[in-house]
Formats: sequence, structure tokens, C-alpha cells
Amino acid sequence: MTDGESAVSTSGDAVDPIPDLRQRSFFQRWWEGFSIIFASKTAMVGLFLVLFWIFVAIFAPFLTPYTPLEQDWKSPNIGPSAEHPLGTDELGRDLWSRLIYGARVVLVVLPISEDLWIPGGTAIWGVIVALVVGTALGLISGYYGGWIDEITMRLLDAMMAVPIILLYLIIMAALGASAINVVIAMTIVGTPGIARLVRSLTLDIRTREYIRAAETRGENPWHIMFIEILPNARGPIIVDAMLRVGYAIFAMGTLGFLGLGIPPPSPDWGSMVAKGREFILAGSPWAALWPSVAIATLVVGLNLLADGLREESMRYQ
Amino acid sequence: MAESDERAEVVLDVEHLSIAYETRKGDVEAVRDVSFTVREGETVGLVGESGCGKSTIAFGIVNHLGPNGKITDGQIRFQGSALTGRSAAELKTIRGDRIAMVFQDPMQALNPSVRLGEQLAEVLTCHREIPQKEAWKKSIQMLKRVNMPDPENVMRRYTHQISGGQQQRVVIAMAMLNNPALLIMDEPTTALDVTVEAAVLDLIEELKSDFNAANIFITHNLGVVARVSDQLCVMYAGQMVEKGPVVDIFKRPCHPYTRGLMAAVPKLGDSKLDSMLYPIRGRVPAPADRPKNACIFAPRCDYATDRCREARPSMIQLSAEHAARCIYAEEIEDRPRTNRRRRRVEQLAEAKKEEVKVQTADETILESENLKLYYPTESESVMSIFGLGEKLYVKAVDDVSLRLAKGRTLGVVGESGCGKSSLVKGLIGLEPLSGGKLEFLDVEVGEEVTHRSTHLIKEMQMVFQNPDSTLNPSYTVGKQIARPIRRFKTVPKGQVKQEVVRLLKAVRLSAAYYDRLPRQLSGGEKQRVGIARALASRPDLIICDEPVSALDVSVQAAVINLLLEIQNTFGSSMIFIAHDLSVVRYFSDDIAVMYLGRIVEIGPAEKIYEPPYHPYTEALLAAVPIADPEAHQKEIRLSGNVPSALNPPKGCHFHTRCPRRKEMLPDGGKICETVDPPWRQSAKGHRILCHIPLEDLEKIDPVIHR
Repeated sequence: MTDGESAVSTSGDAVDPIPDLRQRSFFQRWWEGFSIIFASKTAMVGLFLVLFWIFVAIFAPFLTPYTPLEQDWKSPNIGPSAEHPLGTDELGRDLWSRLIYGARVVLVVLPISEDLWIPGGTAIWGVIVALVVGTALGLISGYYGGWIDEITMRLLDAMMAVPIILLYLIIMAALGASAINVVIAMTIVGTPGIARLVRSLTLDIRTREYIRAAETRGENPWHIMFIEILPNARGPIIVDAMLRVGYAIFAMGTLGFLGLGIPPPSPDWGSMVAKGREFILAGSPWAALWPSVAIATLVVGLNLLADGLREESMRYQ
Repeated sequence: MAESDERAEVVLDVEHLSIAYETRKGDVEAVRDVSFTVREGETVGLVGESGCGKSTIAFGIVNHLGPNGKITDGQIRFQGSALTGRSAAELKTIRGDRIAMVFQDPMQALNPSVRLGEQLAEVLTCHREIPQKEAWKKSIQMLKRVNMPDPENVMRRYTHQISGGQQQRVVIAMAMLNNPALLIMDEPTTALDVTVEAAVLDLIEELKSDFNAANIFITHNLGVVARVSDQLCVMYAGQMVEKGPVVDIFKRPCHPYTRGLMAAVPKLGDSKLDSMLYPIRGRVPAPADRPKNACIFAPRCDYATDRCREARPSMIQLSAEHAARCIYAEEIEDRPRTNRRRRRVEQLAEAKKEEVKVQTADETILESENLKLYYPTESESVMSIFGLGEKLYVKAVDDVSLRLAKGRTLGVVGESGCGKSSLVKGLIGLEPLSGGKLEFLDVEVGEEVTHRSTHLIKEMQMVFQNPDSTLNPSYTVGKQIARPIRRFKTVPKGQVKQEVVRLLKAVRLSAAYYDRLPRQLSGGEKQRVGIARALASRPDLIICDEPVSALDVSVQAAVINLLLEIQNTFGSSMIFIAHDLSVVRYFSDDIAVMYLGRIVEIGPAEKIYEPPYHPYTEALLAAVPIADPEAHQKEIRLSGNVPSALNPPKGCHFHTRCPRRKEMLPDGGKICETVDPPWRQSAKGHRILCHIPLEDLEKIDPVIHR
């Protein structure tokens, strides 16, 4: 039925004039979404810190002449110098190169075995897997409700009742120290929180009329959960995930510090602090200082980015 | 002023008021050059669509514009002293307790954690330094004054323990306690049911004569404003386009916008067969896009000429008090609407008539028998914590039998909580039925939608109420309309996009909307996309759950016309739910009146709106605000609230509030309290569920005389 064909038509509701909204390409729209970061100073500072670490992690081999394992017996535990910009540790390894190779494990590569690794850092993978599991559980219990919700949530509550650090210790002690196991531990620890968040979002979104419309079309529940509900929950989930990457880095540091993280001699920020700590009073604080600063700046950066993003997206609503 | 000698004293004088809000992109003018006066004992109504600056004016008067709002120009004089350009402390002393305000939502105006009595008394102890005891006494008196039953008891209650209508009474009592010189009411009845609204409007009328306060009444509803106002100011896009005595404006509207508003709402009793609704095209422009030096209404006006776009028209005085901001105001009656529009609209009406003739074949599409839909709830005993307690049922739909013929429209009306929406959910299979039989297209469909066959699902689709949540914000319009097409495979895969564009055209949207996201659309456009989505599976039955109640009146008319047109073209049957009785009457062929889960009256639309009435239908009709200040309407007000569906009254559900049974039945209607009422057949297809014999019901006067 077009205007010409139809015998009946009321001019009062004829095709409305289209407001000036030219169709933009996918990239432009993406850029527009991204550009809200620039509106917030907080987010900009955060973005700068995070991008710095990502940059050095990716280009680590080009940013230092040393490998992280290379030992210089002649100069252990020295301060910053021309040869070693940040100094060396107790075995004479270059701290700068250990630091940036350490950032790689956190942000860029996940070592699975001696010579096999996949892109995406340990912290990132930990959050992604937790996100997938938590989102699925949250969607299911939020959408179905009833006893499914009751059982899932009580189980997750039980997991949340155990102090996080204790949970990490138990899991890592049981599984042994490796990057993969760190990811598994992060998943187990992170899932309940994400599931709770997604569940609450789902409970809200499922009352909307477009969900009812999908139900009256007889759509199957998986379509409704993952196609209709999930995309509308993405905003809070993304912000939460960003904060969680921060916590994950923190957790990696803690595990490494306790000797439960990525096994030595891999450059791990946590274990670097743990080792360096012994030499602080001996007059060389550098080995402990730099990895601590690294963890702090990256975590603070991610938090600032998430906060700025949340504030800015709220302001637009 | 010249005429002030004979008229009451001017309480509030607003002159050339302009208000702007600061935003990131600079100042945005929300109100421009508005002038009006309010006199003692007089009610000035401010009407207009949403976004027209009505509330902004009210907030400007009480200096409540928020951190980014400011008065940029003009004067507000209250009892002779200027309110503009003063500090908050100075304002406080000038205004003192002399201006009171009543808001739309009483739930938000009352503090839920403080007893009502304390909240009322506080008004007096705070402003007047009256001792607590006396304040308490005065509060009780005031509650009596606003017709609150059992005021001593109410003083000790909390907000949630009284009904919405009573809450609004408490808020009004609170506003009146200080005997204010000016009372501003911002949509005070919009959140209330029609029967409750009527009672609150009665109260507002009464108080006006008793307290002699000056009133400003803000609303979007022409019917409400016709009932309570003396003077009327019509607002459009931040400007006043017409003002004058309410009778004059309704008799002779002189601004095209006012005329448009009046033509856009159906009058009670109008039917699609004998009258048409004329929507106003387009939408209210956003404050930033408003033309500065042209008539602000010109882009949507049917009478607009090039002259309108050259300069901003000034108010043209039509009589001593009646003025309109239109250069053609004086001759507007003689300038007929564009012919094209009339003819097209008449074509639609004719097509409808023909269609009705064709539809003598009485094929049933949907039939229900004793349909029941109960929601289980736990009783409040300790046992129920362990799941052992007695199961209670909310009887949302109880014994509903109805029949819908092919191509016809069944309207369902009733107050909120009467089970309209539950009935629909049961029909479409979103809630499991608790009993009864339901047949759709001659197939029994007792089960939920997930167990129905795709063929049946496809034939019954729904249009929803809230334009903001009817579309999924994450997907483009095109994708959302394409989804049901793909799912039900109505067209071959390659043609999905053409089909979507065809549907967009059917709902009068251009193909450019295909790639839009819902947030780029206005409310009316979203609703049209919702309709297109429901049409996509080419259903035989479309269920419309209050499809226009969240829309502005001018847009409402367009959507109703669109639905009618779709029904003509596709021959679909419809179930139309609305709480607005004029709209239901206009749109429907048959009407079912529901009360507490039961249908109390069902029959052809024209039969419902004339005697014999069910007493409940009669009360509903008497409560409808009519957009005609000179219409005579019977005054029947229901007492009390709709009883809880958890424990409905025995016998006739309506007996607790029925105004008729005492006078029309022997023994004061004792029978209603114990015995279920019988169905009484009046005419063909018209049934009334009542103990009162038909002969007596027929003797009742019609509710409305014109």
C-alpha cells in the first residue's frame, strides 16, 4: 500500500518530514560513542594511563635491549642508570624490561604452556570468561525467575560469602600456579558479582513492552535473553567489566605476591614486589617500587576510565 | 485596568514572562512572552501538549526552576509586589504561605514515612506558629472540608494506607490549610481513574467558591479544563496562542492550534461511522528549533500562508477578553480547512461504512466461555513462609465470556485494576488460564503462547501502550519490523526489506526510517513502528492495549485514524483497551465494560452509551470530563475504591459502590450482597449483569444532555 494506491488516507498523518539526521556509517557511530570519553577529564586521564600500559606491553621487545630473564651479575640491585633506566633487581635483571614484559602477561598475552600463548592478557581473559559465565547465569535466573533463580542465586551467594582473597588462595592452592589457573580463579571469584548485576538489569528490562512483544511472537527464551535483553544491558556491564579488569590486575598482583600467581621466572608484577621487598631495607627499594607503581597506575587508570565513562553516559540520559 | 472595578481583585499578574534553561549549547527558551492575570475566586486553565511550557510557567511563579532555569524577561506580580529579580529570602517573605501548589503524583508529594496528621499539622505549626494541638484540630477540620471520610482516623495513617484519590485530597487539604491566595495545580487528576478524577474535580470546584482563592489549573485534557476553568490560556511551544473565557474559546476557537486540539479528540458519543478526528500533523518543535520571527505554529498549520512566516504575530483582540496569536484570527471560521484534507477524511469514513455493510457475514474469530485467570498469592501467615500456608487467588479475570466477530472491534473499558490487561494477557497466552474455554479461529487455545502453534501465534498480535518501551532501543526500526517477517516467513527471504518498507509506508512513515534507532523517533512515530511490527505477520486479530493513552491528543488522533485505516485495508479484527470512554466509543463496534474481573455489560457500542445502563457504566459515563463547558452531565459519583480482587465482595461485585441498588431494588438491594446477579438481555447482543430489572434500568435518564 503506497500513498498513490490507497483510496483512503488522511493527509494529517501523511509521511512526516524527516528531521535532518543523515545516516552515518558504522565507524562514525562507533566514534561518536567513543568520543564521550573526550568530554570527561577523568576518563581522559584514565584512558591515557591505560593506553600507556597497553602500548608498552605490545611493543615491549622494541622498547628495551634486554630480555626480562637476562641476568647481569656485575650490577645487581642498582638504582636507575643510563644502562638500566629503572635499575636492576637482585639477580641483575633489567627492571624496565621485566616491568613491560610483565605488563604483557597482564594485558596482551595469555601463556598457556611453555611455547603456546593466545592474545589477550591474563587479567582480560579472567574478566571475559567471568563475564560470559556471569552474564549467562544472570540472564537465566533473572528471566526465568522462580526456583531456577532461587537456586542459582543462593549458590552464588554462598560463593560471595567466602572472603575473596581466601577464595583465591583456596582455588590457586588446589589448582597450582599457572596463568590458566589464574584465569579460572578469576572466573570463579568474579562470576557471582557479574551474575547479580546482570540479573538485576534483566529483572528491569524483562518488564519492558518489547520483551512482551517478543513473547507474543512466541520467540524462544534464548532469543529473548541474548538478542532482546542483553544488548540493552551492555552499558552497565561494560563499565562494570572495566572496573573488574582493575580488580583482576590487583588480584594477579596479590597472587603473585603470595607466590601463587604465574610461576617464576616469568616477569610477574606481584612476585617482583615480593622478591624486591626483601631488599628495601638493604637500601635498594627500586625492585619493589616500580612494579607497585605499575599496578597502582594501571588500576587507577582503569577505575578513572570506568568512572568517567559512567558519569558521562549518565549525563546524556 | 479598566474593568477591575467590577471584577474581583487581581491576585497574580504575569506580564511578558520569558523563561530559559541553560544547557551546554547555550540558553534554550522554554517560555516566551506569556502574559495573563488570575483574579480572586477565578480559575485560569493552562492547556497544551507536553513540552509546551505549562509547568515551566508554574515553576517560574514559585521560583522553583532549578539551578539551570532563569527568568530572562518580564514581570510576575503577586498581590501587587513583583516576584522577579529578588533573592530567595526576600521572595519567601513576600510569598510567605500565600502560594500553594498541588502536583500530579500525590505519592511523591506526601512523605511516606511520616503520619499524614503530622504532615498536615506541620504546615500550620511551621508557617503560623500555631500550637500543635490546635493545628491538629484545624487539620481534621480541613480533611472534613475536602470530604475525607473518617478524618480522625486518616490523621493517624501513613500515605500508603489510603487510596490515590484520598492522597490527592490530603495534598489539596494541605495546600488549603494556610488559606492561600493563589493555588497552582499541575495536572492534579492526570494520575487518577476517571471516577476518582470526577470527584476530585468536584472538590476543586467547591473549594474555589468557598475559599475564594485564585487558581491556576494546568492540564493537557480539554475535558477537564472545560469543567473547572473560568479563563483559558492555550499554550503552544512556549508561547500563549489563545486566551479568553472558557465558554468563548470552546464556542469560537480562533487559533488554528486550539481548533486543531478540539478536532483531534472525539466527543463522548462520537463514533467512527459518523465523525472523523482531525490530527495536527507533525510535532511540537524542540525549544532550540523554534522559529524566532515567524508564527510558531505555521509548520503544522492548515491555514498557514507566506504571511505567517514573515513575522511573529501579535495577540489579536477578538473581544474584550478573548485574544488569539494568529493574523487570521478574526476570519478563521470562514477560512475552511484545506479541501484535500476534508475529502480524504470523508473517504475514510465512507470506506468504513461500506465495509460495515459487507460485514453481515457473522464469522466468529475469537470466543471465550467462562474464562478465568487467577494469580496465586501466599497468605500472610507464618506457615506460608514454608510454602504450607493457604493459597489465595487474585481473581484478575473471573468468568468472562465474550465473542468477537471477524472484522469488528471490541472495546474493553473499566477502571485500573478491573482486569482489562489480565484478560488480554490470557487471550494472547502470556499468562496461563485458570479455567474456561478459549477458541481462536475455531481452534481451542487454552495453552500459553510458548505451546501454541506458529500459525496461531502469527494470527494474534499486539500493540502496546508505552511508546518509550514498545521498541527495543538497541535495534533499528527496520530490523525490528523484519524480525516477525523472518520468524513467520510471511515473504520469501529476499523480499524482507521491501516488505518492511511497505509496512512503513502503511503506517505513513517513509523508507528513510528503516535505519533509525528508536531514540531518534517521537512518541507517535514509535507507536506507528509498533503498529507496523504487529502488522508484519499479517494477523487476523490485533490487540491494542491502550495504544494512544500515552500520546498527546494531536498525535492520538493520527494513530487512531491509522488504526482505522489499517482495519479497512486489512480487514483485521481488533480488541481495543482504553480507559478513555470517548476514544473507546469512537473506535469500537462492540464494548465490554469490566469491573473487578467480570464483564458487567457488553453489547454494541451505541447501546452501551444510552439507557438501559449497568449502574457502573452509568457512573463511568457521568464521570467522563466533556470538552464542552455547556454540556449537561448527570452527577453520579462512586464512593470508595475498587475493592481488592483478592477478596471480591460476595454477590454482585459492584454492590459496595452501587449508587442505584438502594433506590431501585426492594429491601434496599439486600439481594445484591448475597446472590450473583443474572444476565439481562436487552437488545440483540446487549447484556447487563444486574439484579435491577431491565424495565427499571430503561427508565433512567441518559447521562448526557446536549
